[in-house]
Amino acid sequence: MTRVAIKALAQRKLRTALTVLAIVVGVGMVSAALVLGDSMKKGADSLSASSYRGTDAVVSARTPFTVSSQQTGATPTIPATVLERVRSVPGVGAAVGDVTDQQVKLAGPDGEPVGDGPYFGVGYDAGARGAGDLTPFQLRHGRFARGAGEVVVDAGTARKQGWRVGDAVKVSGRGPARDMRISGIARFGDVDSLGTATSAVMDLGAAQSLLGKGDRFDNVLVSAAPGVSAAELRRALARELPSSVRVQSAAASDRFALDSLSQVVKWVKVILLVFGGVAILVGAFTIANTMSITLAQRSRELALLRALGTTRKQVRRLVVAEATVMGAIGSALGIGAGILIARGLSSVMASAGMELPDAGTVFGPSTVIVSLIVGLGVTVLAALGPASRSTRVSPVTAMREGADIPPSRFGRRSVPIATGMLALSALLLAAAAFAPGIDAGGRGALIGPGVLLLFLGVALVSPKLARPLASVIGRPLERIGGSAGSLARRNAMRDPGRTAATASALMIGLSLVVFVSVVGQGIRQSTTGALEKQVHAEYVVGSTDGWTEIDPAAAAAVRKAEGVRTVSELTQDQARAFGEETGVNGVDPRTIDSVYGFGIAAGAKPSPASLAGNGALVEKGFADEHGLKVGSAFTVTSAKGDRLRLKVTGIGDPPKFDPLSLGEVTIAQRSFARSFANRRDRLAFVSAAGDSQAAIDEALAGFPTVQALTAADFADEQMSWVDDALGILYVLLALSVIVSLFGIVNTLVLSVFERRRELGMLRAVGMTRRQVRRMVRHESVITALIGAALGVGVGLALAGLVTSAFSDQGLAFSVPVGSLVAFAVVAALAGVLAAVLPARRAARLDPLTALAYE
Amino acid sequence: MFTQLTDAPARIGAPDVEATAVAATDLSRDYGEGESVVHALRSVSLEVPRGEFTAVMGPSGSGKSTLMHLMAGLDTPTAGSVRVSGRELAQMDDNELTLMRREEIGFVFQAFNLLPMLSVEENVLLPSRIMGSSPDRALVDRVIGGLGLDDRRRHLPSELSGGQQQRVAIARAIVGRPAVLFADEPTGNLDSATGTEILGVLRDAADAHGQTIVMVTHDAHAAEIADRVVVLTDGRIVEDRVNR
Repeated sequence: MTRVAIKALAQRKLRTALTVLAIVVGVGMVSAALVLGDSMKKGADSLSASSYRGTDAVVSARTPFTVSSQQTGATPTIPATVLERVRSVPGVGAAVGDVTDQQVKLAGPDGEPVGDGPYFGVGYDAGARGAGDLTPFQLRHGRFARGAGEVVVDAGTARKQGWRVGDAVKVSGRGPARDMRISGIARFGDVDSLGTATSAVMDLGAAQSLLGKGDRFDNVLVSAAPGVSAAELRRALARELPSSVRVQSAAASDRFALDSLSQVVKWVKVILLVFGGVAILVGAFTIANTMSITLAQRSRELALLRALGTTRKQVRRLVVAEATVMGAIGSALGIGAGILIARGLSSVMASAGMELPDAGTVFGPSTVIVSLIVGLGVTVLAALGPASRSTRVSPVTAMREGADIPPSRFGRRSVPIATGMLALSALLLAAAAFAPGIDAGGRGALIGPGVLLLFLGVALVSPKLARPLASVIGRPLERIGGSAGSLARRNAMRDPGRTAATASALMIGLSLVVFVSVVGQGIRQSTTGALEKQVHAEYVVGSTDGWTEIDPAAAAAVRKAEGVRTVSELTQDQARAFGEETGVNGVDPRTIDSVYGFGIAAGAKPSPASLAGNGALVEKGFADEHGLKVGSAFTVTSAKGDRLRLKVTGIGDPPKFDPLSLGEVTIAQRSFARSFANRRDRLAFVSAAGDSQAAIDEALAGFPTVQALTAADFADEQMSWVDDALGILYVLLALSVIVSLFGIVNTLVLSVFERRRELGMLRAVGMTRRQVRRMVRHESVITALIGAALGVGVGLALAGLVTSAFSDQGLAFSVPVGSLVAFAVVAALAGVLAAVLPARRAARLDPLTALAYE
Repeated sequence: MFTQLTDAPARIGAPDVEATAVAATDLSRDYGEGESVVHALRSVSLEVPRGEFTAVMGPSGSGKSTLMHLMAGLDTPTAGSVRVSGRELAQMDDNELTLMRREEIGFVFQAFNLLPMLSVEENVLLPSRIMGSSPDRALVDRVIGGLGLDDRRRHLPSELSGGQQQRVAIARAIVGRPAVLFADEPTGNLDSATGTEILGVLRDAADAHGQTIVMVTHDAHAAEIADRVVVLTDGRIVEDRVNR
């Protein structure tokens, strides 16, 4: 049977090739996700190993909770005396004081900031005994920095910027950026740089001064004496040192935040796998549709096999064998394509500033196994329906002309089955969206099958929708296309099952495109709305990258600019309250109310009186969760371990969709400064007269990494990540749209083949080649637009569900009409593209062969 | 059956000077090359005057279909000339041939070849739709009525009998007022009673309407209805007789 299967496939080369191509793209995505994920994981792992090699223990300040790695600036420091204590502990080989900060930015001599973060700033005591073993930085050129005017930069950044030893750069820490000269270029462990990070390695004293740490350290790095194990060393240190410090392994302290890198890697892999899965699902539709059309056209051949004594079981086996062969070829090619896609994606990510350490492409056996199982499994599963239908061909069909395969029992009951699927899907999705007490994983487990059932259900009812949709969509095309357009419309309507199945594949990709664009628009609008409501300042001063913090010296400089009336700084830090982590804001009680609205729901606005002493403004959600009312008392603990007894004087209810992600508790800056370590500002709100931009910019000249934006520009900038995210999602979804285009090409090629006699007649009675091409093209466009219509419907429904689930968070449901129109236009163009090959085939058809009798 | 058509106006724009509807001169058609060349047609000349009903007969492989395809502009000859309404087809490219077929030639096929998704009326109007011209509604109504299809206008081909489907195909061919109508085994897919009926319809079209018809058939009984019978064997005309 396999031999017959292979011969049958070889006879229908184009159809087989197009079907295989659909599998290749889907499997390619999955295998790319696996290859990229494994490669990045290896990179991250090797980086972790090489970064912390040689450092057996890290001594740092004990904090009551884990300080987020993004907030190393807020980690309490330890006094210089700890270093002496450490060195006296038996078993210690070498120990050095260390400063590691994530917000030391490098800028070129022109002041243009470099990199997208994290921005490592390291104080390294190169002269200390054994220091070389306690740092990941390995000099390639030059020497380590000495004194306040020198810096060593990482090799990756130096290469990207074209920097050499001796070049002048600006280094921003506390206060205005300082001019420094590059004394050396270093590698980070085994790699040129740590992902997208920039590194500025300074003399320890220079770093302490740059970051305003006095003579204190962030860490003391320790290596064990010969013969002492790392664990023994850590035990000894823990025994000998005061309880105000903590002793950890280097990996546990993770001062270069490599764990967050691994998290990113994990997420990238999951996202790629999800989109690979979508592409596979679309591929499954294409395969099922192609198989069922091909089998319908081969009903006479199959009937002949039956008439010659082939059993039903053998016919089914033949069809499944064909699918298996295609699945195997497609998967094998897909795995190869996956490696190429992975390379492409990693260079796309690198150019988008998400470069990860390169440790070589990992092509593991799990990639091969998973890709093969997915590719083969999906192809065979997709073929099962058509295969079981093909067995229903009666042997007499061989003797008759143009007999069709009878619809399966399943097909006849499609409406009730689809209704059941849609109902179940609605139930799952509603539960995922609204049911209380389910965690994110649980919701995901409901959403996945819910969305799958939604797609399948819509695909099943779509034959009922295809006729009216084709009729409506075809009308305007009839105007444009004349007789060719009108025939195209009728062709699209004549086999609604086929048109619908073809369109459904496109529907999946497009519905997800519509979904992300509607949700993106909602996020954008909610955010802009929230910012307009909250920010009453003319200007907002923040970091040029939009997410890191700024030095208070920048705010002080702006305060002196001409035309500026008020500059109100906002400082943030982590804290613990009611046993959970939360954020605390420090504000200037005299000015904050004039530039930022907290949306006071109860109690007093933030004012010198209300925030005096232990007065605090809390967010309504926080107050409700912990049963706080105006006048209630509660306690927060800072990273330093200070316990603040606070009293609620006001409850704010700002728009929930808060792009500034302010803390839930707001206190006066004076109390904040006493108990919290963070000395940087999240933002500074500026109220100023008229056009003060030039004056403010001039005041900020010494701060290349700080910018002042008008309130409107600030809102736009806060939104730029939405556009970035949408861009990436569109690219990933484009792959599944491409798979569905193969489906359209396939269906059209098969339809043209099937209708060759009709086409011959049309040519004979005077249809020009041009008109034939137009007819096929218009049918393709109609099919694509049906897919677009279904996709828009399903996408809007999904987006509506999600936005209403998050409506209490302030997420608006807003339809980006322009984008939807653009998607429809793209779908129509895709239809035109898909029709190129089939239309050419149809036009080239010789009327004589078409009219010849068998 | 076609008496109501006798007063139909003469075909607009067609030069009436041309007394010959279609003429083949020294027409040859070879298939293949070298050793394996097949001479399907060997220097055949045939002139069909306007209004004549000609039957082309011959066994399978005699070249009768090839002759029809060449005269209908569906195929290009290896040598010789074909003139339809005085215009030479041999030099035309595909587009010109298509336009020629559209305006001057009608077809009736063995397999009817109606579009399954179009109604009877839409099928009849199809050629004028393709041309983008507005059909002569009065003529269409008379033809459909004359063929007894009035109450079938909205039906789909699949709802009609074979004889009815072939009537629709004939209606489709003659409402375009072609210079010549080619019928390729028009009764081949029909039982003998229905076949006779369809031959009657064609005969009426020739008598009542002056429609020039060239019918290819291997059925001697069918050929009897024509004015003239041309018999082909091995790519040559072996007999050319007038029936009455």
